[in-house]
Amino acid sequence: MNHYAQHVKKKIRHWTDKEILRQTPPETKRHISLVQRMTELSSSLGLSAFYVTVFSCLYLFISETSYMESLPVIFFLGSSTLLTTWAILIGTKITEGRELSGLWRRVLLLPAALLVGSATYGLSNYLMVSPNFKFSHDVIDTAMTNKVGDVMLVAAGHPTWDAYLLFFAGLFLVRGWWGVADSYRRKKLKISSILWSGLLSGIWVAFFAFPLELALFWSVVGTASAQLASTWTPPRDRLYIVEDR
Amino acid sequence: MNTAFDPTLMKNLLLLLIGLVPLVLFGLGVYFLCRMFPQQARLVKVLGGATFAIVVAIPVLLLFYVGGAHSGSGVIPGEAHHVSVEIDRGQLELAAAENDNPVQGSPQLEIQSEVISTQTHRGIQTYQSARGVAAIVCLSLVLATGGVIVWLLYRSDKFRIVASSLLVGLFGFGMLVVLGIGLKLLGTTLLSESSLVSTSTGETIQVQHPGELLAFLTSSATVYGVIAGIISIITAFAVYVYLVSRKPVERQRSGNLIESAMWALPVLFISAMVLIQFMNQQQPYDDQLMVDIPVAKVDLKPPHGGFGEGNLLETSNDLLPDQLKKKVTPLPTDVTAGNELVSTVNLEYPDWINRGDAMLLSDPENVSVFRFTVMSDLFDTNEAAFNDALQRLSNRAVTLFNKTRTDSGITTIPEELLTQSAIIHTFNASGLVSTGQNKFPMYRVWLDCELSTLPDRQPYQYWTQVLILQRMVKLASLIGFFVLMFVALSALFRLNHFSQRKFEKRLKLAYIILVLVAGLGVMSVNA
Repeated sequence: MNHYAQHVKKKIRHWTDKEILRQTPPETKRHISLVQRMTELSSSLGLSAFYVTVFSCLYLFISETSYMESLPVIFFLGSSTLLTTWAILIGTKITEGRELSGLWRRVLLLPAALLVGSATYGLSNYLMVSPNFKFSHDVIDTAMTNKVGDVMLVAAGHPTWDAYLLFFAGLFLVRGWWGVADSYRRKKLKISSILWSGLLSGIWVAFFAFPLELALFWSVVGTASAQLASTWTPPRDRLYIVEDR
Repeated sequence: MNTAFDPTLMKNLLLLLIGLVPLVLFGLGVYFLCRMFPQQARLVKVLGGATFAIVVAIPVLLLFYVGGAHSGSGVIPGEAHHVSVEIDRGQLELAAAENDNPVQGSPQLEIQSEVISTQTHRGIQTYQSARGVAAIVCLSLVLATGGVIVWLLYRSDKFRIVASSLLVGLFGFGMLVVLGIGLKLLGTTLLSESSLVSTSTGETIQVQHPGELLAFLTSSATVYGVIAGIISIITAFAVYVYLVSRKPVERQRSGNLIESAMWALPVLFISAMVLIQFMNQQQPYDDQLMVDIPVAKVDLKPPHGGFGEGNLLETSNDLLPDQLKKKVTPLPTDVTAGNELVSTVNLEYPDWINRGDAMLLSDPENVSVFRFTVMSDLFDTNEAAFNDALQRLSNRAVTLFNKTRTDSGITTIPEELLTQSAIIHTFNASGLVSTGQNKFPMYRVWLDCELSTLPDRQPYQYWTQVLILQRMVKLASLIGFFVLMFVALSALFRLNHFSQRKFEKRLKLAYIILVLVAGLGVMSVNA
């Protein structure tokens, strides 16, 4: 343990956990070695597959169709959510502990969002799963939001490639994902964070047409899996505080 | 109701949960006894371990072997087995006369018995073999675990580290085998579900899967087995490294970046190859391809049906497939060796043959429906000629469907589906063919066919189901590969850290071997 860390340990000895958490937000600049980053990242990526599988298999409980009809949907939901979670985990792990503004952290996730959007669209074709707007139309009227300028977001009742790109760009830009997956977040698993992700994606879908159930699934399950899979440093183990550096 | 909720499965799970409770209580009991009598702790542990092994082994034995023997024949209870035996009427009358028992009605005996012929059983359970393997694996695991627990608690030298590692490797292998059996059962369920194709009228047709699909799934299972074996060996090694290492230091330090990068190169290379191979299979779908189906130009209207002048015996139009297969043209009575028959049958081809064998759009506005004609070769029975035409139709169907999705894994469509939905008209001709001194009738069949890539058409529906099944296996193997890579990488870093780099090179080598084997396995599945 270096001198600074000993100093911090000594300083926070009499602090409450709440005070430590206040002093160690996810944006705290700190030194994280490459090996540690890689160790934590690879663990998170592996663990997230487990959580995403579990959450995706819950679809079996609401599905009333046969295995042959349910499994492609589960595969689509699972693989696309896994891609989303991996993108979030990788993006946040790269920027973790670095001195970057929130805007930069969001912008750096944008290429990942476009990749995930394209891959998810490809997966829906690959597994021949055709998301539609039946559920969305019960909640939101997409007549006004099905195009942006000349770009169509809905074609023949299905979301277009542009719709996928736009949705994921929005999901990755609007939500501050570093607060979800950073090891200095307030809690290991925060329910309000999951609900907030769901709410934001719902609001996004209200303005830019996209199947609501998919949007909610990806945002909610993605947030939950990212939180569960990523490392979390308990308050007493935090070696860096924001005010000193 | 969702088929996922299998009551038998739920019952077994409940039994498993109920069985776990006393085991946990037993473990707690041993723990508290050890705390209460610390000087007798070793004896308590030994006795506890032995009791645990015996307690677990007995129900497993009873469940798998005694229960399995009880259901012995593998016949679903309550299912009557009707075996129809057709015998000659003369034999039947003779038998009846001998028994002084007059026979009435049809000469078809309906014999109801428990088991007469294994070929007629539809109730044979397909899970028998899987359950047997699971039983052997479980028993081996339980006995090995119990034995080694006793031994480990009794001994206390360094050698037990090796034993523990092997035990963990064995246990991991057992878990992977059980997981594999579960996946196999899921695959069986999917195969049986995908063999049912529903018609537009709500009926379902059961089809037989082509052999290549079954071969694909079998090869996937073999690859899984090999990778599971490698994972187990490397897991055992990882546990060994963990156990011989000291406690971790507080912080992790980076090693030499260039050296690490060199070690990472093979892994990156393999993962890139896996990804590129997967991506290469996905070709963009192009509407224009649909209207450009290359076919070999065949003369569908050979003179005299291809039998030679004066040799045509008979033609028939629009017979149903079953009638067509059974139709036999008798050899004319005036045909003898060396005697030339001059037939007076005129061959008039139906109008639909004029359309030719080009896969034309029957509806120009709809690029999904194609109409064309196929013609068989000459065969000695109508059935053989019909099957030949059907095979040509199947090839055409696959060619057409492959235009929509390029990575199809099958090259034949089950004939039941084609017969049911793709044949619009039939035409057949029979004629005399002579080889030296012999003359005999041969047959040729023409089929007017319609194929469509509309989702509700049965051949396309089946083809799509099989394609999705194969794609799910491929996607699962791809995701599994990357997850394995990440998990193993995490284990590598952590173990390297725990062992303070004592085993660094060996760990890296093990990691590369694991990724290499898994990558080659995935590529062979996706090939």
